[in-house]
Parts: sequence; C-alpha cells; structure tokens
Amino acid sequence: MAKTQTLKFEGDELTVTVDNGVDAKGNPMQTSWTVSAGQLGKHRAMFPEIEADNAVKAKADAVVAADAEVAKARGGK
Amino acid sequence: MRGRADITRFAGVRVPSSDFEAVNNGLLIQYEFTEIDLTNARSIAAGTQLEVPYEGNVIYADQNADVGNCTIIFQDTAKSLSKPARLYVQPGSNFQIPFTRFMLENTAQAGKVMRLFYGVDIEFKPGNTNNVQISGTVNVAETGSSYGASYKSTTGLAANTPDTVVAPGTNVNGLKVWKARWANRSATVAGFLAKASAPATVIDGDVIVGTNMDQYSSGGSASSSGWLDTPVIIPAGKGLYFISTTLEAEAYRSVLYTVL
Repeated sequence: MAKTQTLKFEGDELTVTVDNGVDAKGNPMQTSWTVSAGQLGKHRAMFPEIEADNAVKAKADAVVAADAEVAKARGGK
Repeated sequence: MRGRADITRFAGVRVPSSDFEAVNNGLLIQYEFTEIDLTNARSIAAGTQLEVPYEGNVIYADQNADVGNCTIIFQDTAKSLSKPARLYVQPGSNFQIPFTRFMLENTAQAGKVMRLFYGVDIEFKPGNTNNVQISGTVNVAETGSSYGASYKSTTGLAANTPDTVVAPGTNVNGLKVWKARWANRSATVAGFLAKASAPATVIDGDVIVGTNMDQYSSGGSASSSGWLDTPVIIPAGKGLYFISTTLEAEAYRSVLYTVL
C-alpha cells in the first residue's frame, strides 16, 4: 500500500510519513509517526529506512547518543 | 581512652558506628529528657518565659498524645537573648542546633506537656506511626500526560487489513497508550487491537478501542468512531494495530503513546 516514505528531522524529533495516495474523494491518505528524541532508539527497528539514508542515520545516531548521555546524567540506564 | 583502632573486634561483628567508648566513659550521654507542664501560658512579653539551662546539640519532642506545642529560642550563654527567632515545636520536632540554654514560650494547654529529649551528637530518627489525613477540599489540577511519540493517519484501510501503529518488536518493556481515537466513513466496526502479530479481524487480539458510536444515514452510508476511555499499558511483546471490518472510504485516526 505504501507508495512513498519520507523521514524528516525537526530539531531532534523525527517524523516518518507514508504517502498512500488519495481516497475516493481526492483527499490525501497519509500515515505518519512523530518520535521524540527519547523514543527514537526504541523506534529504530520499526523504521529500517532510517539506516538507508546516511544523513538521517547520522542524525539519528547523534540524537540517540545524546539522549543516552542525558539518561546517564539523570542516573538512568 | 582507647581509639577506635584499639577496640577489640569479634569475628562477624563490625565496629559500632556510634562511639560507645565515649558513652561508657561518661563523655557522651545517650540522652536526657525533661517534661514541662503546659497548663499555664508562658511568654517573654509577660516575663513568664521558662529559661532552661540545659545544653546539647540535638533536641527532639516526644510524639505521645499528651504532648502539646510551644516555641523555643535556642541560645548560647555568649549570645544575646533577643536575636534568635522562635522555633515552633510540636510532637515529632527534631532540631540539631547547638545550645547551652533555651527559652520556652507556650499558650495555655490544659492536660498537655512538652516532653523533650536532648543530648550531644545523637541522631533522633523517629518513625511516623500516625496516619496521614487530608481534610477539607482537595483541588486536583489536571496536568496532562507527557507522550513520547504520536501516530496519525488518514489512510483508508481495506477490510480486515490492519495498519501497524507500533510493531510488536518495538514493545520490549510495555507500551503506554495515552490517547487513541478514530473516525471513518463506510466502515461500521473497527478499532485498535493489541496483539503479538497482525490481527485478521476486529476481535483478533486485545481490543484497546472498539466502536463507540455508529451512525447510519438514509442513503445507506455509515460512519463510526471510537476513543480510548483511559490510558492503558499494553504488555511487552504486543504491538498496536488498527483494523476495520469493511473498506474505509474516509479515515482519521490518531494515537499518543510512549514506548516504555
């Protein structure tokens, strides 16, 4: 069903959008996820396209690493 | 007096954290206490304050039911009597303030006493055996929920063809769903399901959100909607899906969630 998929960072927040064309009335059919920096590491397996785009992958690596540092500083795992 | 390093040690018994050598030699007291009748009022203004010539650096007010309240000004003999502020003392009060004397003021409290335990370098750690009671009106402010990710879709689904909101493999420690709602046209039964694999029908899994409202028009078209009543945690290993029994001509659904 999915036709095109775009991945876009706004700050450290990633939005994954799947464009599925238009419905019978001509309305765009889209499905998207917006994932915060703290949730990005847990969502990477769900969006393997992240690894296919070098720029997105580099940004995702940086965001996940920074979040890990924040969690560590807060005493988390 | 022997130092700590000279204390005879026994196998399996650690050196005590409190200096019992000093206690045993009379250099440190365990604790002293005094009991003051609060029946009659005392105040500095009236010249009726009670001046107590006890010294120490720790003082604790007993929590028994017969203990009232008072105010105390801790002092050292070298200090002015007028500068320190009054400290309110109630059952359970515990101060670590060096003093060589203190002044006590109180309102008249028939049948009540102030029972004070005091000493030097003693750590009073009273347990609280009282129940906590809240009286009067408690105002609760809704602060909202902090979600970690969102899903939204306007993609109409084919009959019994689920859309994956969160894949089961992503849910390793649980998935908290804060909000979920959907509305569509031409599909009368649909909903969000939790399951370890893709569902095949609207009841093939745990129904997180079913159909709350159906609406049929005379022309034969139908619309329906559903929403999550309260946040729910989906157990680890299960994904979150949306599925409809019939083709959705128009669709709108959204989820706010946090992967735990």
